[in-house]
Amino acid sequence: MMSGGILAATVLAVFARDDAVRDHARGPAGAGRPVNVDGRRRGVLASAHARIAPTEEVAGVCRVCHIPHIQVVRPAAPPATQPTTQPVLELYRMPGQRRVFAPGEFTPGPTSVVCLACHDGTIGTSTISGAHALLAGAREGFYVPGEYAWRDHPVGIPYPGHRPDYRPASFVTKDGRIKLPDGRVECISCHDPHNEAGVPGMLVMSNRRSALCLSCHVK
Amino acid sequence: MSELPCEVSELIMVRDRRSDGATKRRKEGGSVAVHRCVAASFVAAALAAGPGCAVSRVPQAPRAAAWIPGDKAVPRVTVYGSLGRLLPAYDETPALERFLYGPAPGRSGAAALRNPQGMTFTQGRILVCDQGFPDILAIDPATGRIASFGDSAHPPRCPVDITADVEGRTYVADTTLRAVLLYGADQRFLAELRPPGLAPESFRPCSVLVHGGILYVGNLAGRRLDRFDVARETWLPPFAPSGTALPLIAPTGLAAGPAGELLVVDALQGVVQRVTAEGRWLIPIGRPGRGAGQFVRPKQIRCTASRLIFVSDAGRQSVLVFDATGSFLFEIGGDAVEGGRFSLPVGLVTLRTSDLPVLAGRLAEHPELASEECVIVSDSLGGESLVVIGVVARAAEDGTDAH
Repeated sequence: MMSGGILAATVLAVFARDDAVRDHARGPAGAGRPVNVDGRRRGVLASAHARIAPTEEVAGVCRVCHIPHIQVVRPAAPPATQPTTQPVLELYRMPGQRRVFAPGEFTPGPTSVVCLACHDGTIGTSTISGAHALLAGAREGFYVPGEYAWRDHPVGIPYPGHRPDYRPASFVTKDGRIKLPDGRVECISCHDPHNEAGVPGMLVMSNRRSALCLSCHVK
Repeated sequence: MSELPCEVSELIMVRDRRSDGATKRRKEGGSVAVHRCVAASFVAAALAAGPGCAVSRVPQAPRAAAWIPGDKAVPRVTVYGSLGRLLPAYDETPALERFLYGPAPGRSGAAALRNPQGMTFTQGRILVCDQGFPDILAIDPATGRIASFGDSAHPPRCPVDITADVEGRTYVADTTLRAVLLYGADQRFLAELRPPGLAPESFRPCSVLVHGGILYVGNLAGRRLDRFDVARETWLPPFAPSGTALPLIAPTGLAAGPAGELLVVDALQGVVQRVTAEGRWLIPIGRPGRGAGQFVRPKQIRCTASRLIFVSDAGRQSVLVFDATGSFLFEIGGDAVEGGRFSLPVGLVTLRTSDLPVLAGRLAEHPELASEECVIVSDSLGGESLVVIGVVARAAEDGTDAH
């Protein structure tokens, strides 16, 4: 009898844990929250990201971007020591070669890299040819074809909150929906990979009447 | 004091300018700094040994002299830099216009690329899938000319990978058209290849490879490898893992392995699958994670003639190198790439160093930096669009390499 109770408790605990994962994957935290909330399909499982789940288990879709307990976008820590048998990597700088991409400036940050690694036309829809990332390169002297100019919003750029035609960064990020990682505009500034708002384009909020644009731009 | 060759001065400038940062990182125990410091010291010291070098500017004896390659069983890799700087200057200005107005200002070399991805080397040209146009660009390393490749009447919409067969026919994976575009040796469009009986939404080719007379297609939507007999022009039964094998999710890269097996990069699973020509799935290489030799978002793969396996990882912003057995050797990324790090490395292609005449000429002056084989990495977010990496399999020097 005792062992039966333990077994039942264990089964219940496992199911409860699975429900928690499912709820997290579907949308905002909260037990029993359905996929459809006020007419919107929210959550990862209600988005296009559900297609990339390696397995049918609920947490499978999370593992694509989240290695358990570790966000994949953080840089790897180099080994403290290096064996003497390690191959030697040599640098040979050709004359005239210029430093184009300054790390940390005008380049997609770690959070955007994990987006762009799929959304380059191979796994997801292409954004790198659609100007999101291209314009970031333009600021470092890259050629941008005319048809791309201002067709889309650049990523990997510092947020110019000090300019009068932009709202202060603290005002933009106060409700937590728009994020400016390291003070920069990245993919997750406008898009939510977890689809918690459930609006088209997996935006962090509805862009009806340019509401999302006007969150930052003063027009 | 005789004048420094320009290459030497450039190298010493690099070392001088970065010495503070390298020292700081070395205190933190970072291996990258050791690589960089040792590499610069080694190269500078090696060059300084020859005539015409200013001894005063040569850094002191490298502290980590033990890092200088002494073990002939390990490979050596040299990052030569951007391909754009290793191509001859090519000017398309018509002769009369050049006479009247001079050469037209514009870009040359790999800077002409926008978002390069998959590549192949065939008929003396490097073919690059470029989503920025979108088009296939053919780079002639001998002349430096970059031109559109293919049939302008049937251009690709979203080319992500390309391969060629022995007859010079070219196959382009197009994820928007959801087809493999076939171009003849004369660049004329021949056909759009799709497996018969497959719904359009079930076919999304994101990688292609001709190996052993079979065209392998990494089908993202179908989560399998479709196969096309190139000679008979018929589709063969697809390969897909079954049973307890790791499922295939996103086969974004294909290459022929050291033992003739097929290497399949699964970008979402974070492994390199191995499958035999008979369709038997072997133990994969690597695993997802942040540690050494682990994958975040691997994209494409190539195996060199010296049996080294190069895997580009867009998530790590680097290229990982494995030996023929799948053991991790080292990683190329971070500060190793001059001009910054890789932003989004994707495509890989291997070719002989002699196929790049300008590079071969410059290396003739510095034989200690020479290599017989090169790997070119495409960075689809700009930076140095195409980065050339020289590979020396040191075991091959002893004749012990069994390839």
